Amino acid sequence: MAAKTPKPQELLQIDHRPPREWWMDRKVVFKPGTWCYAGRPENVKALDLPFPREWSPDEEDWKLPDNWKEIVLETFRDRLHKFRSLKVFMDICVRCGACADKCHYFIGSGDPKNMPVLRAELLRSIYRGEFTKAGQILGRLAGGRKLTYDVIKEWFYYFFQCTECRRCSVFCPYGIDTAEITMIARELLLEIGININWIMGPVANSFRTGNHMGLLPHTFKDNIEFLCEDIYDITGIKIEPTFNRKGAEILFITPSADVFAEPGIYTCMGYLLLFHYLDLDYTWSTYASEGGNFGLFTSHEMMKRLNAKMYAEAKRLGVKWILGGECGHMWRVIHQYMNTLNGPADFLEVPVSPITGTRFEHAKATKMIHILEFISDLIYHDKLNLDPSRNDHLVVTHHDSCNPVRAMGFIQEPRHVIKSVCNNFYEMPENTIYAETFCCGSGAGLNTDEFMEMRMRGGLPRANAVDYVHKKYGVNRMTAICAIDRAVLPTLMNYWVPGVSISGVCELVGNALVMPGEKPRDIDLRQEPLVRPTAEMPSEDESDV
Amino acid sequence: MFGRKKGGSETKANIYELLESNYHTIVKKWIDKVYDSYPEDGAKFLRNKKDPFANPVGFRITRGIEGLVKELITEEPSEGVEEFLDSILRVRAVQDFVPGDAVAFIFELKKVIREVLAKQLRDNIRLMEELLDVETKIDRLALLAFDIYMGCREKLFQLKVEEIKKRPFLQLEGVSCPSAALSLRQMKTLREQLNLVGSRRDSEQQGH
Amino acid sequence: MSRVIFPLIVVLVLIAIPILGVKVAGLHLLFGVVIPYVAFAIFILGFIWRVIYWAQSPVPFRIPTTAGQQRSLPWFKQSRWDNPFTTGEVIVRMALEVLCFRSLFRNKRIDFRQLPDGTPILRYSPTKWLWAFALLFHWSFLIILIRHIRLATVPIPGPIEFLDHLDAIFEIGLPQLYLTDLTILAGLLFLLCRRLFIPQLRYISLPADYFPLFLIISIVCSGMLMRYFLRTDIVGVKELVMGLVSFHPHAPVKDIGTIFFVHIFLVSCLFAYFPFSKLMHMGGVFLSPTRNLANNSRYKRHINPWNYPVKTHPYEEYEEEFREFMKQAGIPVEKE
Ligand code: HEM
Ligand code: SF4
Ligand code: SF4
Repeated sequence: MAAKTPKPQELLQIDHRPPREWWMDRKVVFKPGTWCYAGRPENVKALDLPFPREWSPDEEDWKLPDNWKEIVLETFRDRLHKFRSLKVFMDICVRCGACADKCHYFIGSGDPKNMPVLRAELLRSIYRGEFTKAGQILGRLAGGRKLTYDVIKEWFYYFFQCTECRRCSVFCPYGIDTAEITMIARELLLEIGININWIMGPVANSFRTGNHMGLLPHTFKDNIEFLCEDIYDITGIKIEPTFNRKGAEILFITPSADVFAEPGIYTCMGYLLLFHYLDLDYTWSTYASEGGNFGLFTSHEMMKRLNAKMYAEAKRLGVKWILGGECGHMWRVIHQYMNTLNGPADFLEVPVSPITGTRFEHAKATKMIHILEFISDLIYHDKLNLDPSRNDHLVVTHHDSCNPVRAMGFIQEPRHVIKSVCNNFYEMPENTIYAETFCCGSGAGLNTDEFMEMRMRGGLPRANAVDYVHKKYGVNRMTAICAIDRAVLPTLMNYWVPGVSISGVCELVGNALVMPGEKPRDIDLRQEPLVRPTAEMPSEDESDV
Repeated sequence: MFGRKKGGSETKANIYELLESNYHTIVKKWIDKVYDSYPEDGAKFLRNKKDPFANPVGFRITRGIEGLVKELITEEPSEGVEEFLDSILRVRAVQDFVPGDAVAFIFELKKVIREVLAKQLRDNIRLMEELLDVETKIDRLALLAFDIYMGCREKLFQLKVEEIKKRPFLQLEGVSCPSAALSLRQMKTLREQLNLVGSRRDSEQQGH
Repeated sequence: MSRVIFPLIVVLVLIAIPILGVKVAGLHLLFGVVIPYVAFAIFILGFIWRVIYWAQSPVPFRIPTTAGQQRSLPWFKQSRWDNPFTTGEVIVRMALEVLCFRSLFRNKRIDFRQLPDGTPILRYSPTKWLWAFALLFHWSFLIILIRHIRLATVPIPGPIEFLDHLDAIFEIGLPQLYLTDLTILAGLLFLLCRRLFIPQLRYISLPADYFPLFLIISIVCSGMLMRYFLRTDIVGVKELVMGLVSFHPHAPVKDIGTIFFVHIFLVSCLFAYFPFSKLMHMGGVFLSPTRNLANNSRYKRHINPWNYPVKTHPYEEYEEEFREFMKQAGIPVEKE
């Protein structure tokens, strides 16, 4: 494509349907709003990653090392040896196209290279062109091409336009997971010093201070205490959580965004209220103060480096098991990677709820359970005094976050809790929820403002579905069990569907939980009035789909 | 060939009736032109002869165009116009257009109408005059479209600033004002993204 | 366009080779015995080699794609086939995948509807075309393949005989028309037309996607020509095939018919091409880690054979850096 968008007039004068160049012939043009800033050298250096330097993707020269090509091919070979997934996925795609229109970025942008199959072909074509005989001899006729500077740029552009959401994988007849391919492609790029700052920054912070936000121990504590003050103002309940306390029964870890950023802080207030209500013997940690793990978006190694803190801290504090807050990619790491990477966790015990005595057998090796599993168990055993009418000012829908659903199968737990704490719940249309949920469009480290246009495009399918329930049922609140969702969906909604706010499930729990000794509540955790439902409630009742 | 048959009766109709009877052709041609304004590897790729709606982008475009044409052929347009324009422009505001190109599709409607009604318009002064009236409406539509487009862009910009404000490092580094925290680089890019021709807004931002 | 033309030309050349070879050069032995043997050997060895090549790489992480409710608490009904927890459940999932193309069954189309009141809405509605025709093609292929056992056995085993009857159940024409001949063609033509006429598909298609389609279509067509139109000497064919499978090959009878040599040569090409192409999805589907693993990684530790120690930021270093802050804030420290 030319650097300038052709004017409609120009298109009309020439034949406006020129033969389309094939994708291998197209070079990437870096348009504003569709790519992220390069990693700052100080962050890259802090992590001992290769080739820290000042560079920018929109410049001609990326200042790559001289032997970038060898490094990439060598790493590629190495990853083929290490990951059967990669090998098999490189070989067996039949290009049936079942995945093509399943990616939110393709749906929202129409850019053909955002079809998962083509995104993967970007890598596959190099695999064929450099590593297979047919590709080396026949080149394009065998679907192969050589690794060039432009290919690297193309990789950067498109592998940082994939949110690793795995929606494509659900529909592929062989389960080819473009997220896995993206993860490995990003590793190849990392080896020649190509990365983005929105990932490098949080990773560097997390490595040093324990959390993405870079909160120092005292700030972390201050923030939680600040939330406790708000809770006191709202409910009259005084909460004094403990930090880094040895001998606690449970270590609680949640994304640091919950401690710091709106609207996550309201979810955090929900946690605090609940733990106080239960008089739970738990502690926060300032060292393992991050549930999320942007290492997942960097490399398998970085994921391990950051994740190591959780077990290390659990061991140091001598807790029995770990409880995890609401977060998407955090749970992908905990559920599918943590025990493999940093286990075995034989110094911990199988999680047992101190209130109900339930043994969480399904987590008996990793020894960490999700807060909603924990709460669902409490509700099932009727241990919570809940007043769902305190959420009557909200008409709620639930956004299934990609990772918990497609890398774990976390579907009914949040719904059980939501339906127990609020009276107005409506599902979004079928095929946009559960395993087929649409991504927020900003996951996998792409939730930065310079990527805004692309985020809005990628979020369009999700927004469309919200728009539907917003118009039909008057939905004004969407819950999401993911810290990235809570950070980016407000923006998305603000643009496409104004009038829908975002929260975690535990915020609703916090609203509904009747605390012993609380003062009469007339405001919710956001200090907004608890307005009773208005007369014009829609009549259809399809909440339990 | 030479305007036999229906031609006689149709020329008696006023322009709005003519537009109404050609509603589907106009909608279809106009949608085609909107798609033509997309770059090869953009939403144009989604155009599918049989089913131009097969995507939310196409959906919004179609919904908008149909609505706009309907509004145009009723002699008194309602506020619905804004909603339909919004439907299209909210999408175009996040795609790679400069403002002029983003709203240029409105003017294509003039061309479409002249094409579709070419036969009837020939030698018919009254219709021509009525057409001018319609075209004035289209011009107004374009102005409105520009406002809406700029509204969307401003919204985007505002959302960016809000996100930047929320960034924790601002507090940590003791900077409370987003524009101060933006490095010059980021500032430059933001400005490019705004696609603002004038520097008015820029100076406002920097004066912050 | 050359992405379509090139494979087409290759297939045409492949058709021409045996015609020339047998009709002009009279190389019956080569085309009737040597090439089929070689091709089959390539197929078997190639297949094994490729599976070993895949299997040499470990599965470091347990990464199933979960398409339904996990097994967690007893009051949630687990989607056993979409989110398997036990090996048994995995086997069912795989079987559904391989036999019924379950994932393809999920396919959705973006769809534009109007509500009764005229407001347009957008939805994602199921589309089963690809699934149906893919299934049609594959099952027909399998049945046809099994039917061929008839040529290599005396006496013909009962089940094969039965299948044969079933396939020709409509008793149309003479020789009787096989259903699967029609269904495989329908399937193949559908898959080809999709590729040719859906812009997105044409855009992603490589020569290697058209080639197998053209090749298999030619095989089917040559087979059907042989059976229904240009009759060949079935007895001669059977003798030849029996010789091949019993490893006592003898030169084919001369007037067996060129069309037969075209058919067997194309089949040989398919076999020889198989291990080096996307057709290996047949083996790969069983090795795909997002499908063949149980989602029980919190229940049972999955071992990564190359898990190596990494540089972390231990607590001691953390405390060292922030001790003063921690003490001031009243956070317990290890070293005062
Ligand atoms: C375990 C066995 C197999 C399974 C589960 C399987 C599954 C599939 C699936 C799900 C597709 C995608 C849908 C489609 O495009 O049709 C496909 C495509 C295809 N399969 Fe298979 N397959 C198997 C064996 C074979 C064999 C033995 C062949 C024959 C040589 C074959 C030839 C093809 C071809 C040519 C395509 C591509 C069709 C196209 O171009 O669209 N498959 N297969
Ligand atoms: S669905 Fe799977 S096999 Fe089909 S094109 Fe996509 S990745 Fe390839
Ligand atoms: S993982 Fe998600 S973002 Fe990436 S290609 Fe697949 S559908 Fe698109």
